[in-house]
Amino acid sequence: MTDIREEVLEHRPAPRKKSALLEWLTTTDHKKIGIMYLVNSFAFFAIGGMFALTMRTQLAQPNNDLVSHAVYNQLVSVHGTLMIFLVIFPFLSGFGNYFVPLQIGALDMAFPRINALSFWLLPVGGLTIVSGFFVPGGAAAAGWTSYVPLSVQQSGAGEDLWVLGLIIVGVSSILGAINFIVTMLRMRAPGMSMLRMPIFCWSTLATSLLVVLATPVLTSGLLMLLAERSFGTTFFDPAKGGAVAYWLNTFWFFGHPEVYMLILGAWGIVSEIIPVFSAKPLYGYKGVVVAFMLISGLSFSVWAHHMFTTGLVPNLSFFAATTELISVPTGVLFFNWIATMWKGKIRLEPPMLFALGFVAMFLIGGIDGVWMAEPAMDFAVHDTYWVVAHIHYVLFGGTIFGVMAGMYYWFPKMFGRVLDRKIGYWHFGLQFVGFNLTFFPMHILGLEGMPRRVVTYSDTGWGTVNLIATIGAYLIGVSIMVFLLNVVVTLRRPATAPADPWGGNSLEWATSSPPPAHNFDELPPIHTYRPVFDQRKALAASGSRPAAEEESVS
Amino acid sequence: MGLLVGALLTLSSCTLLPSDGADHKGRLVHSLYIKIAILALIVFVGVIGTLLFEIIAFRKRRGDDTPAIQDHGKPAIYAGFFVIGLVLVAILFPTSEMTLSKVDSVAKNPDLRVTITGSQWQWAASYDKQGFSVSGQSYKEPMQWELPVNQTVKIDLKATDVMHGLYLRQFNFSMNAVPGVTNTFSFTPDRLGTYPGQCTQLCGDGHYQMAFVLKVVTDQQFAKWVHQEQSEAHAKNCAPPASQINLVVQSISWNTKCIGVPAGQPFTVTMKNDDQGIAHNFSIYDGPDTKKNFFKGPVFKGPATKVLHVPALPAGTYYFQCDIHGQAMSGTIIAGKQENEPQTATGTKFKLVAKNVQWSAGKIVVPAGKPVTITFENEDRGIQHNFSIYATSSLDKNLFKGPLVTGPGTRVLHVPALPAGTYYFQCDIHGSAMSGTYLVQG
Repeated sequence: MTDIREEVLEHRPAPRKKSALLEWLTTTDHKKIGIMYLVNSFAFFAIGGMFALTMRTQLAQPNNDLVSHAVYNQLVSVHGTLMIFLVIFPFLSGFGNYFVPLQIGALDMAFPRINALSFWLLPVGGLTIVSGFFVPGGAAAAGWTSYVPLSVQQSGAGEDLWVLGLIIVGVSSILGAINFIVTMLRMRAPGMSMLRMPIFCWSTLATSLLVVLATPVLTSGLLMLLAERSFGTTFFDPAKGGAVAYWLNTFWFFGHPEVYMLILGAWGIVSEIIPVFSAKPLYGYKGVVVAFMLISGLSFSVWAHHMFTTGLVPNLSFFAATTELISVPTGVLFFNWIATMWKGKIRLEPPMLFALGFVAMFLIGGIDGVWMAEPAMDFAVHDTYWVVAHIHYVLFGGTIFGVMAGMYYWFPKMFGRVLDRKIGYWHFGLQFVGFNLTFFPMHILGLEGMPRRVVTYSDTGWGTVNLIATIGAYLIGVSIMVFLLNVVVTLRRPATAPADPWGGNSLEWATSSPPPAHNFDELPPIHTYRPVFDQRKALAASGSRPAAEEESVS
Repeated sequence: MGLLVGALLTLSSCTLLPSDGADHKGRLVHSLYIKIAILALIVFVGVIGTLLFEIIAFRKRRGDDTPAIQDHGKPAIYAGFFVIGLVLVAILFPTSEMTLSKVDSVAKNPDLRVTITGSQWQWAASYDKQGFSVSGQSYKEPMQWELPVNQTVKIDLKATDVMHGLYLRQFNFSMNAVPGVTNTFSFTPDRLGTYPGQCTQLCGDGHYQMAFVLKVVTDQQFAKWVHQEQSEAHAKNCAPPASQINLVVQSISWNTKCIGVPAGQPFTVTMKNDDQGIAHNFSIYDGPDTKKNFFKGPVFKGPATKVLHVPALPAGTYYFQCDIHGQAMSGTIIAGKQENEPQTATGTKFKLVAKNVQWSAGKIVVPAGKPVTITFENEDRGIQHNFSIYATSSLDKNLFKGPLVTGPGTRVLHVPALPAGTYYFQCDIHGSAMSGTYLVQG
């Protein structure tokens, strides 16, 4: 396997001396780009989080007037947009960038320069959206769903900046997705057949297919919206032959696959972590691959369940049926995780804790979604705080917990240091309590009839529950600070993490922590989807313990 | 920790249940919620219980270095996982479909029809057959509308500007108002009560204040309310007080819905019954429940004409009807100085004032083919009005739409030239409650 190294030396020009900053700004190394994706996500997480805390403070008591209704609508719109497009998705892309090439034994992504481009488009798009706050009329204020005609009606450039920003972000994800697909199809190491790819790679592949198929639909809708606003077209104007339904269908035809783009990667991360910390293989690896593909395919047939109350869906039952069907392969994932842990040797290290937190929270997000999948029941809770609770149980309780699991799991690989365990437990505890305190009560608010996206409410008995949610939100804020503290504390320590601190299965654990620029000095033989496990087992059988375990920190 | 315990105590006093329903459909949804909740609870307890059990039972014990069993899973077992999921769906889907088919059905022969219109940022409910509409004024004064208990009402839901969401929490129902679309649903409230609701679809700055209060009342209370609203609606188009009234009955209806009479003075009514062989009379009451009678005219068959001498009425609003045909043939009498006498504005340049949700002129007369400049003054503090012209009162063709002006505020409107004809104008926020005739003379 040493020929890989030679290939590197052959194909890459000798590196010139660059300043560290210039090096980061011009890098095409998938690992550096991956880290920049994560940093970008944290930066926008901070902005979106501040917006969320402002909104929660405003809602802490009835008839509050901390922010005006105009500003509130901007906060609620940009919060949703940033969290979905600039935080959660790029978190998963960041891990994908760093670990997909490592996990399949590749040197880099297939198109390193396009990879750099797709990253740099991201902060450009994000800042374009945020810049709306500095133009007359303020930022986009029609919600992250930007329903017409409200989004057409809004004066000022904020909404146009939102549209432009999202088009840029969309191009970034499409380029990134093509890159991932080609990388996985063409760059796998010898022996790494498709069905030996780690499950995180499969989740990234499924995500990328969704991005390629669904994101252009959003882009087309955004262009129509831009034309409607700027050139007076009438796509969405019923008085002139257009229809509101065109936007709703276009948006949600993208929007539902989008939800899976935001969660598949987290399923992949968790499906990597649970086997490692249970010391068992993933139960039904092929079943999980099948489930991912079924979910991705079905995700194109459920979009109208976001529109049950619009009166624009000719057949509610069809979309109720597809929505329930998609929950079948999703439910199968739970069985796989549970069966993976069965009779394992479970270690509750921070990555595993966050992974289990993910499973529990995503379970609630899955269950409260069942109610809304039934049109009759959706009529009762649609566009109330029930929906706010649901989306956050899926995207925060789900994906963000999954992302944090990934942070603790892969931090040693990225930075050569294992994140502090004690601080990690504190972080988990605070985030878990804060999250549930914030979002579980929102189910009650929804059932009590509090609509989403209202700047305030009169004193009708919602005050206490809202106050609890606000306290929870601040706890989440504290928990994220604790995580950042952990990062700072850990980065000040010496980089002593071994190649494989956890007893991993996939190829990223076969190289040093952090890996060299060319990723691998040597690849183990790949005969199954757990080459590192196989190597460890072979070494144990031959009497010598693997290097990784000798250096193990735990 | 104390904080957490306090929070949990507060939460446990709240319920995780939807409304138990103020109509049959709402109760069906409530029971569907419970059914799903039972399934959900089983799944939740099953998964979380198993996870907790695994964490405890299969934890890696100190000093245990034996490898775990490397079980990759058998295809038959994980195919079984799919089967379990499909079974759950097979239970859930028919159950919820049964509820949906009932909740989603629209009554063919409703007892009452109401058109509800969402506009930024007020609701308006129009009782077209009854000839009046109600709308909200502000966040503190939301739209108040009433429905009679145990009667099936069919709602036509519309939006004039952007999407809105009509949410009837206690009925476990919501429906979007979508521009360009009329959404229809029906329900039969069967519990008396006051049911607040508000807009659920983000519709701009005033989204949070788009509230309404629905009162489900007895038939008698409803009739009384309808009369009250009708009187108010009639008052706007009521003839000025006169002591000589001409009434004509044709095809079992009066030629007018409102009669203006001087207060404290007797007056005469010349009643012409044109209905061949049908008996009618003219009676005056305090209201549609006809508790107190002020005048009772003789019953006579048409064609015939009678002159009735009615004694003086104190200032106030009264109800008149034909005793044979009841409310189907009724109207309002306003005794007193007409405060709402429609003023007429004329010319190509004039002022139009909106005050107390009323126009300063109920009739506008302008010359044909000439553009008109209107100085539009809104004197209602904190309330939005605009001035729009339509071909007819059913708003089928918009001819002019003025911008919304929040009071106090003034705006100069340039109305384009219109061909001769009779048009309709209104404030789009308040609908027919704030409307008049726009007459273009050739």
